Amino acid sequence: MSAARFAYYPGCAAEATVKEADRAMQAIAPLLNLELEFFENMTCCGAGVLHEEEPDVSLALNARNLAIAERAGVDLLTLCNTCLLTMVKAQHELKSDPALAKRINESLAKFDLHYEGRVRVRHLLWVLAEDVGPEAIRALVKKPLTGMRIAPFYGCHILRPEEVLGFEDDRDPDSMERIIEALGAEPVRYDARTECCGFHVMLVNKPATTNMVGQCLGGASDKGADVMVTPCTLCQLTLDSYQYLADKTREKPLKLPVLHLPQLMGMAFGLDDKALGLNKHLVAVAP
Amino acid sequence: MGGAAEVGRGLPGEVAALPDGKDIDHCIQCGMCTATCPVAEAVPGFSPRQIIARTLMNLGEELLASDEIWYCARCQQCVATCRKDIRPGDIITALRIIAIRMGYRKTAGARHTLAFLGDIKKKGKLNEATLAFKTLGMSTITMVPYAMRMMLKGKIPSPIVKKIEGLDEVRALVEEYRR
Repeated sequence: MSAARFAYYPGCAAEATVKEADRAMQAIAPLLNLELEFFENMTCCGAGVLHEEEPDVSLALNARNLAIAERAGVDLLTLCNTCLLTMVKAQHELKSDPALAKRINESLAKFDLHYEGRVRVRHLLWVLAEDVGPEAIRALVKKPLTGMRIAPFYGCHILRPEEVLGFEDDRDPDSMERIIEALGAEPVRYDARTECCGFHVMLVNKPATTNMVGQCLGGASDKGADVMVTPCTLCQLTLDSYQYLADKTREKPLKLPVLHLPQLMGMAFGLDDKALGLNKHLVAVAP
Repeated sequence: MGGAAEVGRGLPGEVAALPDGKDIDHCIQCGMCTATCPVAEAVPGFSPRQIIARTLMNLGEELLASDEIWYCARCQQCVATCRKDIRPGDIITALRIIAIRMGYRKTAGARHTLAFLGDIKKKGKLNEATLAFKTLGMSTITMVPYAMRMMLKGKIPSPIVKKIEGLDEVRALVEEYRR
């Protein structure tokens, strides 16, 4: 079978801060028969933040990124929940405001670009759950994660608003659990798995983020999780790097390693720890 | 019928005129948004319901200049839970848009937002290394212990960001579509 091609949009975090997510993704892609093409001309999606200053600029830049993927005839694949929601929301806006979409297309025509609406914005988790599927994942496992109790942490912008994203039930998702099982591990059920890590206020409201991180990790830890895994690079960054702050509010430190989804896949596929960047975590990943 | 005409002039009218805030007049103040809000749980006093109530009462100045409107973590819990589909989180986004437009730009939240367009015009990408300073100013010093820990793992992003290809296209779109 020929490889599935994607415009690979790792997101700012994977490009600058949590580079191990990108590294692990590149390492597992050939095994999953995914061909990732990075487009040097795509911009930052603006993370919904640019929208707060210049909504129309944010929409025009996202339309340009989407049109670049369309010109190449590929769908987009991202590792960041916020990139996902920002781009999917842009698609909804372009659909609901045809006059503005037309104007933006007139501007894009100058760069030989056109946004039709054909491109699908995908997250790695969705591609794994929907295109690859748990059976094919199970077939790739070389080192089953038997005995590991893994807490899935979905992150907000891959679930909500459900009517915008439309992938799975935002109150009771199961795509992560199905993947964890396919890798031979046991998914841990805990209430905070669909809660917010607090990333988007980590600078402006540090106490809020610290509290949210403690709630999410504490919930998983109380149910006996050995490790947490998340599909979102921003959630991973927050839950790993703010964990020491959350620890200060607890009797005992959490010591709960937080993995990127492609890292967990790579571990079960038998890839080398270094190739997956497992040495890059603030909360050490036990061997 | 809903929308700006019913809400009237002043801040509620301005919020209702934006796509993000267009359904504000359908709010019944049930408080489900605050009940599901993780920031409200973490920070006593923060309440999306109250932010909407104050907006409807036209207490603009106070709200637009506040740090409070920047505390929302955009988790979408309130959007998912609202019985009247008014998207409370998007109403807070509308307030942020209005705050920036009216020149309330001194809060850390506003400065964080303003950093994005500047970076995108310069390189097409975010400069994560300078974002904390642009947001927090001198208070960045409180992030030093955090930065040290990140540095030990080689996780401080490079301040040198590579320019994207076709940056002239991006700059042209910024000029054409900014207000």
